[in-house]
Amino acid sequence: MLIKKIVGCFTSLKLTCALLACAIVVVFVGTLAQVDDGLYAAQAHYFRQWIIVGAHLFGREIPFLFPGGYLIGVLLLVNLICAHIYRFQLTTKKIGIQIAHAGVILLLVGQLVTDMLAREMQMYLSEGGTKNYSESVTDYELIFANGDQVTAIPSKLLKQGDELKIDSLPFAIRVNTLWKNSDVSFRAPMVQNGPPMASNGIALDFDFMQKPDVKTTDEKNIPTAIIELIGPNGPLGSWAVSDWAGDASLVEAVRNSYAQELGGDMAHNIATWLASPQSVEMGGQKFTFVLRPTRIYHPFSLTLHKATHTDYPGTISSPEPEGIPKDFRSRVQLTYPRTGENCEVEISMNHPLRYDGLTFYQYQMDAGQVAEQAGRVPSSVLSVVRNPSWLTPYIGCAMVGAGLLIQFLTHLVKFVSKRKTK
Amino acid sequence: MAAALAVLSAGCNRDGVKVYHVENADTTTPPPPAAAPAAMPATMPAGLPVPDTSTLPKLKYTVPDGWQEKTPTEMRVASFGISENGKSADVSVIPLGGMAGGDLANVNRWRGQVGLQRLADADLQQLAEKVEIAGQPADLYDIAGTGQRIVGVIFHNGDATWFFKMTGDADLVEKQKPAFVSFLKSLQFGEPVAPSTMDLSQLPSGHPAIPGISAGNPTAPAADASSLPTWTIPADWQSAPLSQFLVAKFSIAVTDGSQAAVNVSSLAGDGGGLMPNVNRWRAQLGLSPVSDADLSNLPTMDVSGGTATLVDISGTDGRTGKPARLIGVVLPLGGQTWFYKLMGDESVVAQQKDAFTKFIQSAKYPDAH
Repeated sequence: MLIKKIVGCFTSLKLTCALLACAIVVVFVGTLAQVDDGLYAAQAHYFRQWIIVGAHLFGREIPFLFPGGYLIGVLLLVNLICAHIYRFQLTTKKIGIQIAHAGVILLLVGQLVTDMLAREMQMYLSEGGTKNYSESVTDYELIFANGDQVTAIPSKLLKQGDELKIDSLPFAIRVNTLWKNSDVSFRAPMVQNGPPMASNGIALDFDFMQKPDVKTTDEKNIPTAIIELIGPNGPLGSWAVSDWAGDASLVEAVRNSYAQELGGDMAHNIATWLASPQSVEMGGQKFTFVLRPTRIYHPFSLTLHKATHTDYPGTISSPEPEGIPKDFRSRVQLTYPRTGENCEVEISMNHPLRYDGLTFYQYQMDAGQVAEQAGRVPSSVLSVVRNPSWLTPYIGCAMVGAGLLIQFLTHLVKFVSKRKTK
Repeated sequence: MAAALAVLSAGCNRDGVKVYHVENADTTTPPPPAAAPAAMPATMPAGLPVPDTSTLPKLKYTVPDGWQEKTPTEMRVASFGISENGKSADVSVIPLGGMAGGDLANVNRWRGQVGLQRLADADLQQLAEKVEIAGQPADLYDIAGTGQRIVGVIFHNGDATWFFKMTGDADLVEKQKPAFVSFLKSLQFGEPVAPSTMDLSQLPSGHPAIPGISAGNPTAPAADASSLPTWTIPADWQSAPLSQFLVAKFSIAVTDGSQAAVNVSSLAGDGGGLMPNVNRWRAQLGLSPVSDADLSNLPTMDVSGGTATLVDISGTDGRTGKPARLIGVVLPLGGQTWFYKLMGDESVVAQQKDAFTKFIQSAKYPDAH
């Protein structure tokens, strides 16, 4: 009796309607919330969430308790699968509905798999530079490298005031300060600097300041932490670790901004100091550490031969020195030692490179006349996407469409033949 | 469902600590590639202060043989180049206000520039060679690194600090050292006037603009008299010359020699935000930065036109090395933010706190209706 009730509940169309209504509310509220919270924060709060507690809308905190995207999606999936199994009849009459349902199930499962497994990363390459890894856009890691061994601690595990003990490290890491977004300034000689923020490393040459978190997708948060390393015999010192120093594109941006004002040589020195490795020695071992965007290593590497930025002829003028861009393309060398592959590939807008389960899109570029005149090394940023389930939305939609078409045609044929017999 | 669980667990593994091996030691940020030299700097970046040298005494000197005088840049009041047998050296004269960061920090930075280790405070005095500039003592530091050498002199003159520096190929700098010393002896200062008013504390915290990442803090448009607020100024406050970014400045001196100063500045928008400004003030008193949570505990006060946040901190003034107290008021008003700062000796600040509060409350802002 009880089982029948549970089965009845999970297979009911009422549950489907209620869940779809909830989904409409969550999509509506979650979309509105993006105005205040930004895309990523709203996604995390409303869609990648089991239960939504509180909403931040129109600059106000609103009491709100509602099922989140995960809960609605999973219940909808369970509901659909149960109904599918329960009502399944292998007859030509219902075949269209069966296919449409299977398509919706595939859409839901595909979205779950995308959410869990898909990654969007970036690869920043300067002309002549080679990389065998991509970097996350939103996630960071504090890494300690000892020889060829790397211990990577996701920044999500770093909490201000916490002390972390990791098996592979002979010291504990105390997080004294952690800023989600920060700014950097060179502690220029001969100006009134406050005391350095940490006793060692880059903090002696650079100041870091907390900045309000950014929420729009065209800005990014640049985290900084002040960490203290504590060995068995006491503290080893404090250091500033920052994405400003760990992200080659940011180091380059700092260099470029100082280059205009202080000259190329001084700016190069500043950038070199900022990127200089910080390390601590313990028990005869040297640990080099840096806070950087989370890296995903690939078994192959890309070398940027040439970044080309072309403008429409006649669009470059003194008020518009950048011109109107016509084309961005990166000529890269792809090297895969294991397979012996070694070939030159051109990546341009709308012509990505698909390789080893990854897709490399042309994303950003600093090249062409403006970069040349400013003395900047041309560089290119590729957006690297891995999405094992990228085909599921296409297949799912095709199945739903085909199922509905079959169902309608079946009914139409039946209706027409009935009329004929009358 | 099992497949879904497998996917879930694969997704969750992203957030754990990972230990892995890489083939090469490509674990740190790659050093920036060398770039073609850019044009000579015309202006200072936003994060670096531009010294106001207009009030400094005019410098007179005799240029040694073989030195070519160069056009001074914004920071330099005098600049020379020396070249000989393909080797070159550069001589600069830079005056700055206050202690300019302290001798140790500057000497250590020079040491860093020629690849030497930092010094401790105690070692600094042993390194200093005493020289005389215009009849007053100054410290000369001869710093020889690998290939490069710096002979630098730090001269504290009144409230200003002067830096004389010769840098270049080690052999040439060594050979030119007597000429550099004779140049120092030839120096004469014109009539002493107010020191350089460059004061980093007046600048919004920030750094050069990074395209696409952040926008700088736009300063409020230059204030003309009609756009300035009017205040009731306490009788014992003396108007003082304005420096960059300030709209009003007053000095308060007490007969026992202790003193304080009131600065009023205004920035467009939120002026960079409350946090960076509070932390900038804290840094001036050698205090560590505070977090968001601490900020929410700051007291507020009602003033004409709005609610202001009040900061009251004590520490050590980085410029004078003496104990000091700072009372700061941050008032967002009509699309801009007003910063009031009373800073100086503890006794004067305590005594002037009420007058300072009344002064702020007396303000009539031109755009406030």
